[in-house]
Amino acid sequence: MNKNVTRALWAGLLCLLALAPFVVGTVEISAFQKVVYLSVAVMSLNVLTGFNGQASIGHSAFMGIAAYFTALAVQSHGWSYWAALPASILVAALVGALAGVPALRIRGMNLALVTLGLGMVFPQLPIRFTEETGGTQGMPVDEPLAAPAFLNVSDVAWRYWVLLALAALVFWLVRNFRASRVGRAVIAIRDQPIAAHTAGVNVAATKIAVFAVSAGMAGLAGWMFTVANQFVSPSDFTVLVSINLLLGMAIGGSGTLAGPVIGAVFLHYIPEAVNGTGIDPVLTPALYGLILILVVYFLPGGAAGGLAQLSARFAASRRSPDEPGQAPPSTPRLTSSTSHP
Amino acid sequence: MPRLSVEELELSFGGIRALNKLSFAVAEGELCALVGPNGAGKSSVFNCITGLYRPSAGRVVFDGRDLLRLPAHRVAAQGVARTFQNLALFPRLTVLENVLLGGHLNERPGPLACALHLPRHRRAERALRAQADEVLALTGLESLAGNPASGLPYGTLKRVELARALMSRPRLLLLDEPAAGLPHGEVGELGDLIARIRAELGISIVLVEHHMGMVMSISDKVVVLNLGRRICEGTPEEVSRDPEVIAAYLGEAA
Ligand SMILES: Nc1ncnc2c1ncn2[C@@H]1O[C@H](COP(=O)(O)OP(=O)(O)OP(=O)(O)O)[C@@H](O)[C@H]1O
Ligand SMILES: [Mg+2]
Repeated sequence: MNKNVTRALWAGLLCLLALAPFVVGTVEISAFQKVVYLSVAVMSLNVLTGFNGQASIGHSAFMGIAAYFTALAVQSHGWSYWAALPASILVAALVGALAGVPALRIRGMNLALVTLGLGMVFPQLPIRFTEETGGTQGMPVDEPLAAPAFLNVSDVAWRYWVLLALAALVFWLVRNFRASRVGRAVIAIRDQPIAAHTAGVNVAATKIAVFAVSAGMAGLAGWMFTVANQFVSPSDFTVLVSINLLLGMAIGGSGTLAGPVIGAVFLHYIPEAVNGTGIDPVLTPALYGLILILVVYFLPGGAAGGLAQLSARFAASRRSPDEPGQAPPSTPRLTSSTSHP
Repeated sequence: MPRLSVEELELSFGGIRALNKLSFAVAEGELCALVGPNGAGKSSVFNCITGLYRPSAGRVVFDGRDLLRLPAHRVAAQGVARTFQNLALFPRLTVLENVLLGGHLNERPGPLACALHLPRHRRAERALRAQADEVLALTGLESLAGNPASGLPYGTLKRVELARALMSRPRLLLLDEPAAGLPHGEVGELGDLIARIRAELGISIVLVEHHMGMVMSISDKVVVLNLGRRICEGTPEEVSRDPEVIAAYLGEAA
């Protein structure tokens, strides 16, 4: 698609979303908030897994660490949300960097298992420290992120705008990074680590840095979670949440820019839609599974990949017939399957 | 002083001695061919030079510096670039992006400059783009810059890999069987391209290749390996007359 058209579309979408509080009610805005922090969470996973090829089933833990950090800082220690913002991101990023160290030695399934361990351990921590965190009961945060008085807008609208602005910022950063020297190196490591290494990419350092950045982004989603809900509990950050993020990434399109946003919309609205049809909600996971299988089978690039193909086809059909259109690429193997170079 | 000198390299895999006290040297601007039967250890030499394999003994001295203590990305920083016997491209990047990655160390805006789209990043990206355009023109890939690297013909992909290696503006270029798998008509063209690269850029090249016609016509020097040992070294004419070479290699393989 034309670069300017894409840019205009995104800007238009952002404007529409920003105007939403004037049009729709509080219930819808709460739902939008959830989609926004889910977008950031799926984007964080996409940077690690989609772009860099490192698997994680532990992103719920990075989110949870930052969400609990924020809740404790604001509720028990009198911090402002704004002070907790950089601090909670930093804490999540630090834990992410530590988690990235074993990822240098192990890969694929085993890395997934290590992060799975992280995801499983995290919900136990608040229970272990029940006195401070309320344990399984969860922990409410009394103070809201209040709108500045001079703006004269509702707190709900203000929170939504803050979340939306931060998410848009993250999206822009990811987009810039994708089209840069560092982004290319990150993707090169995913596709051909040995070739990347001999081309001068410090593979080990990059992988740890990506782990830290991704965890920090998940931490931002965690901060957003606490801002939006003013409540945290261990059940908000179970492994199931991580798996949902993976699902959102796969369905939206892993390794794409728009995919995580589409995935987040899916994650929030499909269960709602299922409820609406009167199907037993117990069947939602089965439905997810079915959709996932269909997407992996028919749309390996996810929804975003499918859209890109469609628009490429559209552009090609509008071109004069003698000009070669960029057919959607088939993917022959570029790399040998032997393990040594 | 030679640009590259490989001294007494020893490398084993289990019981297999892949390299056995292997030595050879490459002068500045020289095109040195490394030939030998399958399993002779040619790719292993490249893997030792570029820091992917750790030989148990020996030295690899490049411009007076021992490369064996450096990790692969630091070897690249010294000015060594290579291609792989089996293609190792980044399939989901475009041809241009593959080539740009070869220039990873040419310009070095950090992650923050990149993510924030700072002027420093934009300047670097423009400079890289100009360098990539030159390399794409040299390798005849201009018209394919925007194509995804997957789905192109094998011979083209081999040239993309060559372009990626050239992008780093190396002082030593290691080519591992660049003509393997090419249709017969393209082999001569590739030989011309390699000769031109050497002439125009004045870099040292080590060429591993089974196509004897190409080796004999463009090399200054030929080093013949068998079972990890150097069995002969000399000009193409000298080597092709050597009885041991004829017995060990040309006799059975050609
Ligand atoms: N990673 C590895 N693990 C085990 N053995 C290896 C490895 N790499 C090389 N070898 C062995 O070392 C020897 C030399 O292999 P090498 O690939 O260097 O040969 P080559 O001269 O490049 O051969 P070809 O012409 O087939 O590419 C062979 O016996 C090979 O099996
Ligand atoms: Mg080989």
